[in-house]
Amino acid sequence: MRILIFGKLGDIVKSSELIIEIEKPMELDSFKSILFKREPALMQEKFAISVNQKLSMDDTILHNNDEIALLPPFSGG
Amino acid sequence: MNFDRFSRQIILPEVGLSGQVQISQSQITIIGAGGLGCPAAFYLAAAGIGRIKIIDFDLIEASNLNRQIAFGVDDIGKFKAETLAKLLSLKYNDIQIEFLCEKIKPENVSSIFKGSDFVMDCTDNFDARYLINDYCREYKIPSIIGSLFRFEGQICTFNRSIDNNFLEGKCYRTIFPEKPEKDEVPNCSETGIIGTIAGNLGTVMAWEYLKMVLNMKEKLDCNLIYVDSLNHRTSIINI
Repeated sequence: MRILIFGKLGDIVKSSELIIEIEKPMELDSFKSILFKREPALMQEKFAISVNQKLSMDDTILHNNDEIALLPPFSGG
Repeated sequence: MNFDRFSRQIILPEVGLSGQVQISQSQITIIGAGGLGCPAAFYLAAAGIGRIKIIDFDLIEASNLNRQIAFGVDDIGKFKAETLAKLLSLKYNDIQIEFLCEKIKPENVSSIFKGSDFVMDCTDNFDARYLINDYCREYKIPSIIGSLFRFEGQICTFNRSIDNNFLEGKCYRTIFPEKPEKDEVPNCSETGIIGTIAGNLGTVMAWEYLKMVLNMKEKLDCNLIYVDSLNHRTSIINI
């Protein structure tokens, strides 16, 4: 899975993109556990998640060829 | 209004004379006359939006000048909303430009938005953002919300759906339910910003509003756009 990273989350993971493979489809909630295990600092951050360009909930089912985006709020104006 | 100055957009099939009439009859309230508000207001005034109301309580500082392009060195210390409004009125005396140098608060949000057809949130703090969002949701006022982080920008669009069922209550809180704490999300003074990034995003916000006024099928409705200008990535997310 391709994971696009935006905003200060990119500073935290030191990249604008991650690749994480999953062996079988899983709920977004379960995927978050994998993500936080790989990047523990993300657990402290608030962000929304989209799956294939759609804002998603924890029960959204993910597949290995999905595109995820981690979407933090921005403040500047 | 004399439409001569709009001739180059009127010849676009997507605009035409009827579209220009729509533009001239539309009105917008822009909250925030900073990095986003300046370019947005400029392009909307240039396009002939009939009435633009600009709200900002802030004074111009030297550190604003790299991106708040309506202001120059001689404007330091003046009110942003007043300075922007007066500059636009000088350039475009055929449209109505109003300003209010007040901070948006629960006590004045009703009077500020009275008669507003559309709200453009160009603020730089979450107190204002959630106040504006909650008011617009309750009173079903369409809005565009923009914000910046370093080389990136974020735009949310909330328009009326065709059947006037206001997007099933969708709003900024659909994406970010809780207002962040004070130090959770850095702003431009902490992360830095180059003027072109703010200019680009403010221009996109203005363009998305014009698409809504013209009811173009390409308008973004209930979408979240992330623009990464450093790496030229854009993500359009359906809310």
